[in-house]
Amino acid sequence: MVAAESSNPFLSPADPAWDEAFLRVQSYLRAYGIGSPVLLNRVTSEIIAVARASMPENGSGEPVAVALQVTHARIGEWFAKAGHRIDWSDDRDRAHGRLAMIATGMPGRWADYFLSDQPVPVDLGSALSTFQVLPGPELRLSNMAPEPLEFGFESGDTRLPGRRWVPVRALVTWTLIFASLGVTWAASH
Amino acid sequence: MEAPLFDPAKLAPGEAARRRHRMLTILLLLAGPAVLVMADLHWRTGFDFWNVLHLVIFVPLFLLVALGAAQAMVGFAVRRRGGDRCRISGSLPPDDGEPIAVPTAVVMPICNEDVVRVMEGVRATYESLQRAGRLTQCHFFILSDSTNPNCWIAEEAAWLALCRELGANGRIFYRRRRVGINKKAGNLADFCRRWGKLYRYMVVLDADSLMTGAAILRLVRLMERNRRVGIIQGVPLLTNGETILARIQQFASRLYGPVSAAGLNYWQLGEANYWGHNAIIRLAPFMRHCSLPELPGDGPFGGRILSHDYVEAALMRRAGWAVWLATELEGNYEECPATIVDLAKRDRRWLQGNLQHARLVIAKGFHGVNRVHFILGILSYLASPLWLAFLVVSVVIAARRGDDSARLPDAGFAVYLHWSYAGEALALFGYTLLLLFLAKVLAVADLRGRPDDVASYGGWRKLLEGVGLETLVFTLLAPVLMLFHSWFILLTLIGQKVSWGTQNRGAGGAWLEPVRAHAFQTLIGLVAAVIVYRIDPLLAAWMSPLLAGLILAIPLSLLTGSVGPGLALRRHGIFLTPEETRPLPELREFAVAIDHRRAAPAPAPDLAANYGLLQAVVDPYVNAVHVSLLRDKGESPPETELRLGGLRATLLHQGPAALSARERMALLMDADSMHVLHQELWATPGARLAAWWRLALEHYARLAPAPVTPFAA
Repeated sequence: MVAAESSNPFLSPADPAWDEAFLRVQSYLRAYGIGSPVLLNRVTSEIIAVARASMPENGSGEPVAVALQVTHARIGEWFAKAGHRIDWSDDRDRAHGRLAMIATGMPGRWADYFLSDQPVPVDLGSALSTFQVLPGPELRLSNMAPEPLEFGFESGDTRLPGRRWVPVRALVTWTLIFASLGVTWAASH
Repeated sequence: MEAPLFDPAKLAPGEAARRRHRMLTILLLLAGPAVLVMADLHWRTGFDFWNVLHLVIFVPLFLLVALGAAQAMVGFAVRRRGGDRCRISGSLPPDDGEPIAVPTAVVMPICNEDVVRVMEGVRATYESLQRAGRLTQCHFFILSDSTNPNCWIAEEAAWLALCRELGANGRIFYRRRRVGINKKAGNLADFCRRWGKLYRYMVVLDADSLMTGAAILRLVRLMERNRRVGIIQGVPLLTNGETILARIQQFASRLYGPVSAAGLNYWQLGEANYWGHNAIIRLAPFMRHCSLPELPGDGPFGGRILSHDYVEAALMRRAGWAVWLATELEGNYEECPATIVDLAKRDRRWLQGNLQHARLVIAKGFHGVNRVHFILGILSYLASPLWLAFLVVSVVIAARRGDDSARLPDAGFAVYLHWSYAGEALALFGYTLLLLFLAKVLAVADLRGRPDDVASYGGWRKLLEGVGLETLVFTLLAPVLMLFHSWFILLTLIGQKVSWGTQNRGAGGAWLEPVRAHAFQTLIGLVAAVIVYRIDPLLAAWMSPLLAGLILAIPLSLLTGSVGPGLALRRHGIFLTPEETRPLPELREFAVAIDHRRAAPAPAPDLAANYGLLQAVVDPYVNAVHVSLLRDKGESPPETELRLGGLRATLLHQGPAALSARERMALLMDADSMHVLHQELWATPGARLAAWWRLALEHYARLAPAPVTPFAA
């Protein structure tokens, strides 16, 4: 009877620490995108029940911490069920798993399957196993040495068409303009 | 019979020189008489130091005015003759519709930009290119230099979401530099060093750019067709403006831009400039020849080159590669500053870079036209202090002369033209105004015989109302910008550094910033008005548009930076552009997507300042994306681990405010810390967490807090 009570959170006496653990797990799973309140409550209750049952074995552990450990274990089991073996006790693997979930669009497309008892769809399983996130193509390193600069007037290259000298016609035109301005000034002043 | 295609490689020898000489001739013909008349005015009163100084300042200022007019005249003439035969877009044969298997990278360097705008710009461009469906080897790169954690984290999450939504994993990439060396130029150089060898072309977009797939395809085809062209710069159209200022800018650039661009292309030809974005670059020569050197010395004119684009164009040309301006490239857009303060911030950044080019004017090996680009870039800002000096000297001359001008005998030109002194001055003023407004007049005249185009501006009446209002607003704004630029030049010369600030391209800002920015200008306007009025009331009347602009700077800035009045003008059909009346599908979809994304609720005010950090720690997915993009650091020294451990504990138990920005950044850049923080935050009872984190966790709670009632215990 005692065991049954401790395994079912709704039959256990109220405890603010476990209330907090319940809300924390629920919030955490909600952050994963579980939208269904029924699924969310059921999974959270199951996790809290297991956490409470395992509490004596954890000695003086805090309910929130223990509940989160159980949550991670539960997610790890689900990943194994989905055919994606991840060591869910390892921080990096956990991050990799979460990346797989978001990269495959799980929170929107397959949210109701996450942690549920339903069989994992084949599409989802294979998407989780084969996902890739590529922040960039493979590196092909090359050198870019700064172009040296020297200072002093010297015209550019002549590899493109164009002349570097001023044609006589242009010189004559400009001389005429300046001359006419000069003559105008001289004649009137 | 169809006209033969233009081939830039076979440009007639001397064609470029002939065109440039013609431009210079027009410039001399326009400016010469004005300088002569100004000299005559001073001669009549007798040359002294102030008169000579006045004349010396007048010459470069008037040359700039005349250059704008000359360019508009040439551009107008070219367009009326059916377009320039020497334009790069004329080199393309009809499109055969075949796939183009050319490895091309579309890159967007960003730094603390509006993430929604960036991603929606990438989305619109990517989708448009996908629809065009022919550029089979095109990759997109979002190249971040963001230092604001909120932007950084949002960029990462938005990038992955975008890849997922578009199925573009492996086609849209994201890279953030740990250290933003050499700003935007360094950002692009870093891309080139990592992946430049993989691509033949690089299409450079700005954070506010949008290009259609058709535009990108056209640029690639142009480059494929012209194998000696290193850069093709598109002329981007301004879009998405909502404030009055943004709408005025986009209206003006759309209406006057084509004539002006045609004039530019007329004399630039294969020595055009690169404007830093909305351009395509041939990567191999760019990587080989366009890596920027440091300028010798310190201070404002030394060190790293700030305005990289002009220099890269000059280096490209120095290496024998042509740079062209694609004047008629459609589907090529960017946005503009929304407020005067944002405009000034942008100019502050550009100004220092352009002034630095003074050193490069005498760098060996550059083409003469590139030197002209440098000089014009410098003068575009130096014109402001010159104009200010011109006004001050004008007032000094008026004060010294007193009321003598009416008694001056007819002499000089006045003998032949029967001009009084005032009449002669008025004629010169009228001529200056004519040249100043010639570009506008010719651009409007260019629409003659094109009723469809006129209709896309809302019809003749609305178009002319827009031109009138735009002229009025920019006349009032001109002295404000003059004082800004003069002040910035002074700051630059005394060695104050410029930070790579981010401008607000979207909406109107708060009222405090404009008040602070313009308070001193208002004061200067009031003092100047009193002084000038006491010297000569008539002179005050002449200068009233300038003085009014300064005195009204604050209300003008607030009004022109407001979204409401801008949209109201749009509803009344003022400042309409073809992009608004007949938008391409890409622009329509972009506008809808932006509105949708911006409708998302903002973070709680208490959390907003560190919302990026919050998400990277709390959200399981954002955390996963973030740590996956961090570099694996390997073994760290024990002291580092100890320090990071202390920072983590402080962050969780005292909140982000207990850490400096640098310390928060150190945690965000450490993958192990981010793993641990995510784990510990969720597993720690609320009583041991900072109140800030408890509030953050409430974001994710399904149940709202219990209602507070009189019966609550």
